[in-house]
Amino acid sequence: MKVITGRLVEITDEQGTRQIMEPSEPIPPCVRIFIKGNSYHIAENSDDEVRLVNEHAELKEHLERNGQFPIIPNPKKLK
Amino acid sequence: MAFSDYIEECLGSSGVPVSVTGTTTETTLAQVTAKVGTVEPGDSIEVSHIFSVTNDASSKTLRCYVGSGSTTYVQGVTTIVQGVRITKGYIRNATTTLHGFSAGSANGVGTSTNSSTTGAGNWNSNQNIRLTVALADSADIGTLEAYVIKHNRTPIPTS
Repeated sequence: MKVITGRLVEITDEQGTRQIMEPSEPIPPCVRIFIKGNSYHIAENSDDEVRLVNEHAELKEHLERNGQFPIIPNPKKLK
Repeated sequence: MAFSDYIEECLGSSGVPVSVTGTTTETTLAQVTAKVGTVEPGDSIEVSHIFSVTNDASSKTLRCYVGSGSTTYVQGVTTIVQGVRITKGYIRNATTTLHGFSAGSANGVGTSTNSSTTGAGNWNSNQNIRLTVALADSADIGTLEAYVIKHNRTPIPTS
């Protein structure tokens, strides 16, 4: 699992000026990204994804509520 | 019309979900760059996107930018679980993009009750197309589930 920090960028449009957060470097190929605070937690494969979801209770709850991600234990850890 | 005059190209797409929490700062969940010379007056950009957010009373603001300094789509939501949306940007000239609608759940494709808007965006230089979320409650979660960004050019046949 890779972690990339975010950086604040100021933009201006018809709604005024405000700050937005963008990753400080390109995001690598991955299966899921979870941005918490100013850190980009990047799951690069399915094992990473299970670990990422299980480590972040709020994400797990969100996914279970929306029914998008089967929360299953990592088979390797069952052995 | 030569076939080479017709363009329907994908500038970017992803089915990788990107979630944000723990901040109220507007956060970029996806970004692609249209290189200078790629998009010309008369072309259009079509962004289809699916967001999901925490289903509670707090506001979440979803935005799609087509070109710098130009919010093509902005919508405040609270309770959507999944929503698919198509955002269009019609390139009126090198520095003006016409947006079919500006904001609100009633202002979707086919609306006849809300006027269109225009936004700046200098297509003579690289322009970013971005999808963002801003949370009012940092404990909430906003997710960009998937998106496809297409560039279209369909010339009128002359013969």
